[in-house]
Amino acid sequence: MAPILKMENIVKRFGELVANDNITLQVEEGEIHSLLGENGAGKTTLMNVLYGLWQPDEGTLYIRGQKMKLKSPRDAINQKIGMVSQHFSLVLPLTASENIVLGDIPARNALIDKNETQKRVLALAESCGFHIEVQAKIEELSVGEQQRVEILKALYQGAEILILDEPTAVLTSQETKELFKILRSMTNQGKSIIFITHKLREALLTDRITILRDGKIVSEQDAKSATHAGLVEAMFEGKVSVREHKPIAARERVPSLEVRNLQVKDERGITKVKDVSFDVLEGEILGIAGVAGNGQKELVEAITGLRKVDGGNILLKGEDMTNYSPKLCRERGMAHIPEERSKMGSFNDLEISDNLILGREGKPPFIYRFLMKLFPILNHLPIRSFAEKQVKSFNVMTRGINMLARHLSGGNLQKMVLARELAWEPELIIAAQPVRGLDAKTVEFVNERLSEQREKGKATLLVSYDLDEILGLSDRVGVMFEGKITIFPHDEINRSKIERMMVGGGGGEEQR
Amino acid sequence: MRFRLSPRLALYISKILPLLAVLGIAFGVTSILIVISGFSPGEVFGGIFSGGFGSVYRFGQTLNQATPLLLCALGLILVFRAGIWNIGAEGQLYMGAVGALIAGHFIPSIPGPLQLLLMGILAFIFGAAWGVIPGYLRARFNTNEIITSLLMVFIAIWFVAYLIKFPWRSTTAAGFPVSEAVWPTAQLPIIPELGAHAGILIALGLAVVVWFILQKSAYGYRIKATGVNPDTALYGGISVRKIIVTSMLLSGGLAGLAGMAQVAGIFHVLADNISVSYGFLGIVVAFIGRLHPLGAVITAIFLGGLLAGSHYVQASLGIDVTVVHVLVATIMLALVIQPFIEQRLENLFKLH
Amino acid sequence: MDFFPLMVPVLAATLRMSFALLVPSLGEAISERSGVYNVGVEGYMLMGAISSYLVAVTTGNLWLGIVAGMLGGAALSLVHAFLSVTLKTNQIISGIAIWLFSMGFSSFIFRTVGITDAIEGFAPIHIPVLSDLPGIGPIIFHQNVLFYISILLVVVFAIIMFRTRFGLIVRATGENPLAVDMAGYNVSLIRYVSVLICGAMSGLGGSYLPLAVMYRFNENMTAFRGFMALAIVIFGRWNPWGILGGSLLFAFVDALQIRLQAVGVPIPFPLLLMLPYVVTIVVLVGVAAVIKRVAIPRKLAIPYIKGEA
Repeated sequence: MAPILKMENIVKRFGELVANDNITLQVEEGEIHSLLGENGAGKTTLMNVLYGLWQPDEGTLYIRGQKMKLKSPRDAINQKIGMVSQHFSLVLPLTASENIVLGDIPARNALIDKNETQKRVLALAESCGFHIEVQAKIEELSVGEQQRVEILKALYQGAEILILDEPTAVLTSQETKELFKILRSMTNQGKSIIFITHKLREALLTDRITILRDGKIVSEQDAKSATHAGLVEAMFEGKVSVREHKPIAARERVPSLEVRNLQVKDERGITKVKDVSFDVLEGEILGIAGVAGNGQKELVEAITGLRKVDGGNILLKGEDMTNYSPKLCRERGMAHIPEERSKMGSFNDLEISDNLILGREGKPPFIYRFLMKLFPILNHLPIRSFAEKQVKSFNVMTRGINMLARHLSGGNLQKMVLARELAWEPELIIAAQPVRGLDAKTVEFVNERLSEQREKGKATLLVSYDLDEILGLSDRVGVMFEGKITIFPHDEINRSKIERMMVGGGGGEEQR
Repeated sequence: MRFRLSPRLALYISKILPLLAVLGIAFGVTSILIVISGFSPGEVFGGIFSGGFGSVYRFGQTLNQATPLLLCALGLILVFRAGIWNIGAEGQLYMGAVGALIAGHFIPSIPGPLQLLLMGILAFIFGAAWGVIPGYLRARFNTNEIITSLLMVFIAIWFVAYLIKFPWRSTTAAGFPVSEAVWPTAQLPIIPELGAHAGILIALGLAVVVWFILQKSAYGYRIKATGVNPDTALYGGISVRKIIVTSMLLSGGLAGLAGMAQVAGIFHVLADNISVSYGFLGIVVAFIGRLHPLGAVITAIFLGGLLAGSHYVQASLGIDVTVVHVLVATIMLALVIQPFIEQRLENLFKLH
Repeated sequence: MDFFPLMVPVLAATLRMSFALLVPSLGEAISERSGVYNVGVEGYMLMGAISSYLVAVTTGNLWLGIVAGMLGGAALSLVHAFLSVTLKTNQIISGIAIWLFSMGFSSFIFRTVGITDAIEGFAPIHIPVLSDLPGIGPIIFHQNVLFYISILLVVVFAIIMFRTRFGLIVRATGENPLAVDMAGYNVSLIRYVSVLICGAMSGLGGSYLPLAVMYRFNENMTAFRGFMALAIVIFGRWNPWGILGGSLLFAFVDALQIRLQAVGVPIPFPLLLMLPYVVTIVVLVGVAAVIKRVAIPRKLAIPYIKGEA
């Protein structure tokens, strides 16, 4: 029987980056097919192509044997393809059933037929084997329940091929079990499911596994015969650390940052950081590896004062600074290189010199000493010379310090952020995804600067989805998975062990 | 759709064309109305211009109109730059007028400069208090400041109506209810030759102050940062809440000074017609002046000239004043639209 | 002072004056639910007032006047829709500019055309038996036909908003236009229609003043009712029944103060007139503090750019 879906020789480029490199994917009718890979492997890109959000540069799509061109999600929906992404497109104050039938509302005599709506929605839910409160408003539902509404919505629009992008990122383990039950009953009715994940144990629950790495397909396996070790090897095989860093031997050192039993919830109320404790010592770089969505974002936000802590303490040089504002964190010597350099780390529509003084705009030398306390007046001369000095020493390629930050390339923008954050001898540096999306030369530059801080005896917490970067820089390595962190001391850093833990493979025990 | 044009030409077109186009529409529409009224556009537009700028005395009247416009606009510039939408300047103006009356009538007469200073301070305080309420509600409860500041306009207007019809009603003045007059020492001096009251000098001085705050102070930096990207501002240690509250305070205070200018400079009493929507017009002035104090000065004088010229043209030509109101509003509408058309054209030419 | 003789005329006046607040508010509620804010409702009302007056006075037909009023308001709102939805300008600024324009324009038309005749407008109708009931008779059953239409409109709007497909889609548009777009609907069209409904309703509300209250046109006769409508929409939490309550409250306070003035009671009427606004703010804050979320449409006054959340 011909596969219900065939993506043949798909190539998708973003500038110089080849996100999908000649990928051929076949999905059979009635199977759960997982796409397994770490961040940047190309899974989401491929599915965005399937859902009509992006056009492939090369390659063809065959749906039910027919060649198809999908120019928009509307086309995909018409071809009975549905997607449940991580950002739900639900209307919060409306009820679940209203959201589900939004695309085709049953009506009688110009009024909404509530009975028919209820009937259809309940029938749909029943056929999948689960129960939802159809009259409940979305904002009252738990995230797991909201996800089910999204699934029902896709089914209501006639989806026979359902794409789920990292669906368990927002679910409890109980809800994950239930999700798989639902998916099974859907496939029993002939629906086909594509399941994007980075977690081994989930991939093993599906029917077939396609493993992506660096935009290419590296392996296709039957889930029944796959093993943990086999999958991990396929996901990470051949990856060599770009820079082998010799971790500094442990000696008596003072902890700069102490995190104790930290609990942090996200804005949906899900606990993303579960009872985490670790130290970052002076003169070291502690790297936290892991795939996105396991609580790293919330951890960084909690430490840097951008998110409330639900439990536990954070100490900086012995001072309890839990729930300190970003201003206080900075005053105590914390620097933060944020994950989103453009959305949070800089002002697109302000000049580079303005960007560089953020955080110290009210302090000398940027203000006149005269009337300092009462009414800080900016002194443009030192601002200018500071900006020029920093731009030079951090190699920011720009036409001038008066250029708007939005005209900087990604690499130069990140160098500008570094120039600002590292300017004042911070005691603790929190670096989140510092080299994401940067060219090799800039990556090297950033890594050198971070190493420099270590030489100076500063403490750095490096959070990254790029294992190469972690291994190349860190003295000790931790892995964050599902809200918990496991730390490897410097002499026990084992690449394959870390890779296994990043995808939930456990600490070395074979589970199959 | 992309057009291939030399970048220079495209730049000119995308900047100038919308301006000419919308102004052309504004003048065109108004000309039609003028012709319907039985006049010629030339003599009306000419009359307005000469009425506003034709003689030194008339220019003085223009400046009188420009003063409250400018004062309101300056405050609004501060607050709009921070991304906060204060549309309650009209109410803050009225409350400032109340404060000015208190200092100008209920406090005994003291030497002029001192009394005026006191009026200014009290007017600022009253206006600031009126402005800080929506600001605080926004900072603390995230209630929409557009709605709260607008509601408070009506509360202020009715409050003033209450004051001048009941407790502070003038027993001497005939006709419309007004308050008692302020002391002679509580009147802004008139600039000789010009005939404008000194309020314009205060306004121009404050324009420089606001410019200074925005350009040269750390506080101004924080305002601009908050308006450009509140997330980055928070990340960088700026207290966005403080900025919201303080900018609303300043904005209300400046609008309050506009109220003082009307009381001390023109009416010398508190009345319910001291403002002809200066608070709302100030929003448009700030916007057209591209949220820059110099732009606000130019626009305020321009609009002041239109308003003063409209009085003149009504008296001299007999044309109905409403035509001029339409002209003013249409021009404002046109100038308001212009940046957006400019942006669309820029997108069309893929310029940055 | 006898309560009864005081309250009967006041309550009757309340109901009589409610139309001009209720109907524009209903229209604005639909528009705001779809995500567009009309600061210029006052302007739509003025255009409605002048159009309806002129047509009624020249044709002698009141209902033609009503239609003209609705068209006048709708025409002006079309401009706002174009600016807000297509050009995506700042809705607050364009609303204020439109209001200022219509103030001058309506007066201009009035003075230029020069007709000032009084008209025989809508008068209270006498319903056999019901109108003669003591107390409630003169209050509820002795109003003009437009009042009864306005109550009907409340029901109609409630049905449209909560029971029809259009209403559901409109409500979704103001909260998450991306979801509506993905469901296959045209967000711009939905918003245009909502704004036009607001314009027509506001024009209708404006028509009431010359046709059923003053029986002539006075400049700026709307007396800021359009802004009161904005407050009433919030007070009524974007719900037709809440809006009915808010309109009655505002109208009651207005009727009360007129009556008290006429009778000579020394309660300062402006303080009374302030009351509805103060109450609205308190409600807004109270709800925000307690429920942590006002029912304000999430995407109100935020233009929708295709593909962006």
